[in-house]
Parts: sequence; C-alpha cells; structure tokens
Amino acid sequence: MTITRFKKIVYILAIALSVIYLVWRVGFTIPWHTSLFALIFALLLVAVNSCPT
Amino acid sequence: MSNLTAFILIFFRLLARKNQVHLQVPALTTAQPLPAVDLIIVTHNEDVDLLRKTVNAATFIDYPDKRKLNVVIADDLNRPEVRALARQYHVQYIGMEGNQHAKSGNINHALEHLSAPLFAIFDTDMIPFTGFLTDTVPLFQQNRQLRAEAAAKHQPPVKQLGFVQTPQSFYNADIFQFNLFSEKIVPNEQDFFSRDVNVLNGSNETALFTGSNALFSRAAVDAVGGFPTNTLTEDFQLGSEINMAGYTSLATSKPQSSGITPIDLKGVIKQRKRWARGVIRSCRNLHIFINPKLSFKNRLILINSYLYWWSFLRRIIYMIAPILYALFKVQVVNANFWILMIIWAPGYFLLHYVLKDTSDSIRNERWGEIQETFFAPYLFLPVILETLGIRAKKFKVTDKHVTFSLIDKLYIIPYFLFWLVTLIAIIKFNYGKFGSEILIGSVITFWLLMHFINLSFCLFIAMGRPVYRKTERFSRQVNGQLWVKNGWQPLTTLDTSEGGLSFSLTNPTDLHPGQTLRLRLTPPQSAPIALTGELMRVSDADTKPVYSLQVQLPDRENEDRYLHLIYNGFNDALPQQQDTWVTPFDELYTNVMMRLEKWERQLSRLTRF
Repeated sequence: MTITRFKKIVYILAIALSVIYLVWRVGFTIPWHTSLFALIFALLLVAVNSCPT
Repeated sequence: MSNLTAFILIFFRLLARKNQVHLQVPALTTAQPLPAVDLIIVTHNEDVDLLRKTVNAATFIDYPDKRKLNVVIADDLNRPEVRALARQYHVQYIGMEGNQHAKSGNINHALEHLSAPLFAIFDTDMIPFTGFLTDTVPLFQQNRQLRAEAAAKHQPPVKQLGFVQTPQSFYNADIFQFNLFSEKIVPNEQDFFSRDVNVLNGSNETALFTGSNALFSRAAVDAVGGFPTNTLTEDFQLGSEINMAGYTSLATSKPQSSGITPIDLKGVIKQRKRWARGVIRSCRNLHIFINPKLSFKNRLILINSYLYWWSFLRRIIYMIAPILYALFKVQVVNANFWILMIIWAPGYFLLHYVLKDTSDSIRNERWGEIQETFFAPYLFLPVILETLGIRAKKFKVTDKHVTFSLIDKLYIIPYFLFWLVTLIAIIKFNYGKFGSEILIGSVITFWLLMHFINLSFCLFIAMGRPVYRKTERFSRQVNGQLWVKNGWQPLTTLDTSEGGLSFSLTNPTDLHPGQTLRLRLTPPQSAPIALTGELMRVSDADTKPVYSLQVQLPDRENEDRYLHLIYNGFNDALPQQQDTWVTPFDELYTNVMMRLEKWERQLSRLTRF
C-alpha cells in the first residue's frame, strides 16, 4: 500500500498542529503564579503532555 | 512524551508500508545441510502435567530429519518426576542445583551441555505447534545463503541472523477478554505487542525477544556471553545485546505455539510489575539513550519500549488533573476555552485520525486506554522506584495457576476510589450550571467522563467472573467414527478439551445421556486415536444433534495423540482481531446487563424465604 498525497499532507499537518499545540502549551498555559503544589502538578502535566494518545 | 511514542509508532508503520515489508518465510531448502536444533524447555517449579503437554508437543514438531532435533528439558530444581518424564518421552534431561540466576542461570547451564548451531527456548507453559521449525529454520538457511552469495560476489557483507521470534499466543482468554465477557470480541491484550509492534521491529531487523518460542543462533548468544543475569527481563535485554553485537533479529506473524495467560488479578499485576521493573532496569544496563552501538532505528524502538512503561504514570496524572480542578478549583492549565479549542482541538483530532488510520485491527485506542488505566495504579510506582535504583525484593515466576483469594478482591480498591471520586467530580462540577457555563466546562467534563468510562471497565475487570471450566476448550473439526450397535458411524468433532469433546454424526442416531460410547478419531497426518467416554448431553445445534462426551483415554499413546490434537494450533475460539462493530459502549452495556442479571438472581433467591 502506498501513501496517497492526501494522506501525506494529513500526516504532516497532524504532526505540525501537535507541535504548535505543544509550543503554546509550554509557553503560555503554565500557571506560574499559583501555589507550589499546583505548579508542580501543572509542570508534571505538561511533562506528560496534556494531549493523550 | 505521549506524542513522542505515538510519532515513533507512526514513523515505523509508514516505513513498513513504504518498504512493503511482509516477512516471507521460504520453504526448507535441501541445498544446504539441515542444521541441528536443540529445543530447550525451561522449567522451574511448574506442574509436571503442564510440562508434559509441552514436551509431548515438542516431540511432534515437523523436521525432515528428526535425529537433528534434540528436545531438552532444563530443570533447575533437579526434580525426579521431571527426570522420569524426560525418560518417558525419550528426551534429554539437564538438571541443576543451586541456581542463582533464575531463568537465565538455568538456560546458561543447559547451553554448557549443548552444541547445536541453533537452539529454541520454550517456557514450560508454551506449547509448540508442529510448524515451529518450518516457520523459523528456513530464515536461517536463507540468511546463510545470502551471506555466502554476498561474499562470493565481493559485495558488502550481509549481517548474520541472530534469532527469530514467533508471536506469543495464548489459548485461554486473558483477564480483559474473560472478565469483560468479551472472549469473542477483543483479541488478547498482548497480541498488540506480539503481532503488531514486534513485527514492525522485525521489519527493521531488530525484533525483540519475548522470552519464549524463539529460535536462536548459538553463535549470536555466545557472542554476547549467554543469557544476561543482571535483570528481571533477560529476554528484552538479550535480544538488544544480540542486535548491538551486529546480528539481526526477525519476528514472524503466524503463531507457532500457544500458552496460558494468567487471569487472576494478583497474577496479572505481579507479572506486569516484573516486566516493568525488568525493562527499566535493562534499559539502564543497555544505556539506550547514549549507547553508540545502537543504530538510530534500533534506539527509537528501545526508547519506545522504555517510554511505554511511563505511560502509566501519565495516565494517573491525567486522571487526577480534571479532578483537582472540578473538586478543589486547582487550575493546572491556564487557558481560555476558545483559544484552547482553536489550538488544541484540530491537532488532537487529526492526530487521533492518523493513529487510527495507521494502526491495524488488533487493538484500538479505546481498549488501549482501558488497559492502561487498569495497570496504572499498580505500575506507576514500581517504574519510578526502579528508575531511582530502588529494587524490588526477589521476584518469583508468574504463577499461572488460577487461585482466587480474598486478597484478589482487595485489588479493586484503587479503581473503586478513583471511580467514586471521578463520579463525584462530574456531578459537583456540572451541578447548578447552565448554558455557556456548561460549554466552557465541557473540556473538563469530557475528560472526567472518559476516565469514568475507563474506570468502570476496570471495576468490571477487577470484579472478576467465576471460572466454571477446568480445562480450555478448542474448536477442532476432525473426522472419526462412533461404534453404534455393530458398525462404525462417521462423525465430526466440534470442539475438544482435555476433559471432553463434542461431536455430531453424519446420520444422527438415538443416543442417551449416561451411555458409554466408543470412538475413533482420525486426524490428518496423525495416527488414529481410540477413546471411550460417557455421553453427558445431547443438544440440538441447528436441528443437527450435538453430543457431548466425557473423554477417557485407554493408554499413554492415545493420550499423547489426543493432547496433540487439542493443542496443535491456534485456538480459533478466540478472536485474532478486534471486532470493530462492537464498540466499548456496547461492551459496557453488556457488562452492566450481565452483572445486573446476576444480582437479580441472587436477590430473588434471598427474597424467596
């Protein structure tokens, strides 16, 4: 089975969008000004990436 | 991290498609001398009855020159009854005492007494099929020929084949299949690794060794100094060491043996903990991140196996995060709903579409999540501890005997607590909210609901289900005859087990339960089997009566042939692929109904008095 052009674009798009999401997630969504507990948990959550697979 | 493992899998699937890799096993060639094979059955303290089935099956394996196949029992407890079993079946016995290194110690000791260029490893409970050698040896012959050709033409050398792994397959339903009433719908959970992931690894010529039913080049194992003794998962480490020593490894996709998988909670979880700790430890031993001997793709494969064990901690964090917000207003993600929708949603759903598109039918994501949730409470700590170098006390071999005890019931506690808290979170979070408030909170509710469904499944799995049958039933259609009055009547068997079989007659006659019957089975390519038995039941299956018989075998020879008939071949009663028409929601419904019925019966029994 060969990969169609359409699929190739979809795959690349999927990966690109995930990367954009990750950048946004790391850069803009971490609640820095919160309790230490919440911050630690927030960082853990980012570390395991809030987008499950 | 989770994205990373997904990317790695996608990468290999695409690669496999592009290169059109489908491992073709050629036929045995007569152009080369047939290599001698030692088939080592490794035993520690398992039942002799269980070992007998494996030894018996090994003596039935096809090989053009049977003198070149040497079946060996390696017993590290020096048990007289095992020695007697070896004598009975005319196979070699290698006993030992004072084994310090578990399975590896046993195998290394046996290898000192053996010298064939190829050897196979079988666990006591892995019953080989007749085709095991014809599905593996030709790959070694082919490799040898390719190497000779390349050398003759002064081309760059072809790597030597180190081992061939055949897939793990199990003849009983696993804990997920059995406890969720879904033996006919979901394939065995381990199939995903064995028949999907490892075949992909094999397409890169770096398949992993999974502990049993593999054929090794003796030279490759000697080159890495035998089986490793510094880990709990010698299999995983040995396979990688062989690859690093410059040998290739392949994985075939057709099951050539069948084993038992534990179905009691304690057994399943203990086995998984051992694997988790073992793989983490082996990854440290192998220095998978920095080892210069690893090729790029091989490194990816190993990192993927390593990260897999971290997915359980990830699952725990995922489950806790929305609960924290819903119950305690602890916000761990600082985001506006609409921005989240714009940035997160498209990527998320597209990625899942791609994963679905590239994965095959053995396992879908939903089931993967349920299984992950199931193991998470018990695996996340061992993984962390092992990473920190805190080792567990000595591990025992997974006990495959099904013994259900009270302790088994206690294993349900973490699932129940998580389930309860998630339920409370869902209710509390949505109670008294209206309109756009619910919409804004929908992301949290979505995750809570997902986890609630997964946890409900875990509760059902942990609740278990009573086991009625002592031995596993296999669907086997074999012709034979039944002695009626004064002549033989043709029959066909439907399914067989160690205790009994069912059959139908070409010309149905009047038989009554309690009658003693005499049968003769004539399986293809095997001597006939004579047996007698008491008729237990006559049932109508689509107007043609089906007779169920309790089997009695006259002597050892017939017993051996009968055992062979049962265990030679995949158990077709279990599915190999996911039934995509049955969604997890149907499953959930079935489970609720089945259990409600049970409770209703119990309740009506109670109220009768």
